[in-house]
Amino acid sequence: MGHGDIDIRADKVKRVGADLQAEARYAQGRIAHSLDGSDAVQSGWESAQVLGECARAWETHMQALVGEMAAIGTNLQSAAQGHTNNDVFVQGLLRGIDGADGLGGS
Amino acid sequence: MVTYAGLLNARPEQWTNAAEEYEVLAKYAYQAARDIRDDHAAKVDEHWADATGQLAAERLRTLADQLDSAYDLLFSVKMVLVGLATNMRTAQDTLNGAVTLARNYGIELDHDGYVMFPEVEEHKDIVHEVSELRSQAFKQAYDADRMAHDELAKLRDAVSIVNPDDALALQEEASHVEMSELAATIPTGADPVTVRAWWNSLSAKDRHDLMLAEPVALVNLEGIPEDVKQEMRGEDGKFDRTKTVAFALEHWDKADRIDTGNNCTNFVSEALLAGGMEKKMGFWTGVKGDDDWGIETGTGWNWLDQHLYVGDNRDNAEANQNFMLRHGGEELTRDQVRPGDIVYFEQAGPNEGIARGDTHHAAVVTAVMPDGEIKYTQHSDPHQNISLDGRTPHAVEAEGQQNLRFVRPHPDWY
Repeated sequence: MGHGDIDIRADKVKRVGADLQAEARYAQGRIAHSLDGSDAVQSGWESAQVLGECARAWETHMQALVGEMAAIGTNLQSAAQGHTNNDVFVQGLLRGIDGADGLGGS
Repeated sequence: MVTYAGLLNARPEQWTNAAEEYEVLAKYAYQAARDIRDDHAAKVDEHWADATGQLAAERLRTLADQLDSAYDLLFSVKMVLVGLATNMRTAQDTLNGAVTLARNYGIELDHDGYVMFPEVEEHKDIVHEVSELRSQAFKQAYDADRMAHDELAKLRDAVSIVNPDDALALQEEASHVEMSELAATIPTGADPVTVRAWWNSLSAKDRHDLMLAEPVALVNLEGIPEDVKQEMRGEDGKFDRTKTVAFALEHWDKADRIDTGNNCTNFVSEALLAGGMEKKMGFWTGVKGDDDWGIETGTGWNWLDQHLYVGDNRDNAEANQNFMLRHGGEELTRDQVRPGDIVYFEQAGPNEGIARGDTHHAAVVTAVMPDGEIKYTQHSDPHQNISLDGRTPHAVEAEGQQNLRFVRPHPDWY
């Protein structure tokens, strides 16, 4: 298929986007504070401080990945909606042409 | 630096809790990667077939790769913490053992746990034991803390790793760090009296955990009770499981006596032979028959040796598994697995090259961690003490769903 060709089932793609967004929302809640136990370990061990840093780094990273999941979901929905809007617009145009033909046809 | 009071009052369960949190988050990353790759990206492929749709699906697969890498690295943190928590717990037990011993003999300790007047104490042997136990407790805790610190710093900075192969390499390193943290708990080089005092200072759980994690080190330590050693070797007396493990750990990166190419099962057979498992030979067939197993010396000519001395039961995973089960082997549930057992990889999902139900890989279980995680050692490709849980997602991704079968050989032919 060439780059100019369009082949999409917009309703299905929109559904995938919505699922991704829903999963991302759920995950964001789960990931926040998911590694708080790392801050609760007893000090006095060299590993304690670096464990806390590790937890913050990984929570932040996982939130970023889940944010990416949400963003892809949004983009999929927008793209699918764009195709739907285009279809509606073009269908409207075509109906208008049909109407013009009907009014002015011989 | 760990202090005397710090070790006496250590809270290893806090580190275990932290480890569990990392494991939960790792499992989330794994499941999210599966969902995105197998469900969402597949649906985009199906319902948006043009070039733009392919770009969208590719972006989803890249995200799945990132989540797979996150699984490897979060699981790595978990392993390092389990090793440290176990080390901390046994160090604390050992130090408490020293304190109790001193108290029982009226020996005074200073604020750092040293014997206050070693030269005037009448119980010189007990003073020695107390000092040795104290020394062991601090040395192992210090070593494990340093190892954990360095590895956690690496894993903290590894969030930028997106290539699953790079993440897997770091996971293997973390698995080895966990094993080193556990190895540090063993008072190698101590005299037998100190070893016995150390062993007696441990809780029943710690003893059990170390028997599963470090059987080779323990069985070679003078002062460990003989019945404990026998349990690790295997109570049926048919072969020495610790020697099988020792062989696997020592030879994981060494060539086989006879090169059979894809030699995972050959390596397992060599490890069992090293443990003392006897060959099963047919009168006419030697070790080549359908119901034979073992190896003959060989001529030194690889091609000839392969044809004369290597039977299917020795170097074919499916045949080896079935042979062991047919001849007394016991199929185990995962929680029953111990070092010296064999793990077989049976194909459960679709794979163009391997039929469902075929066992296509075998490895030696070389350790079981305190949280039940299994380490195994293999040839083709060679790895030592790698994590079964850590690597299974990669095996599934590369080869399809796997059914792991654990077998404890109990040879019935002698």
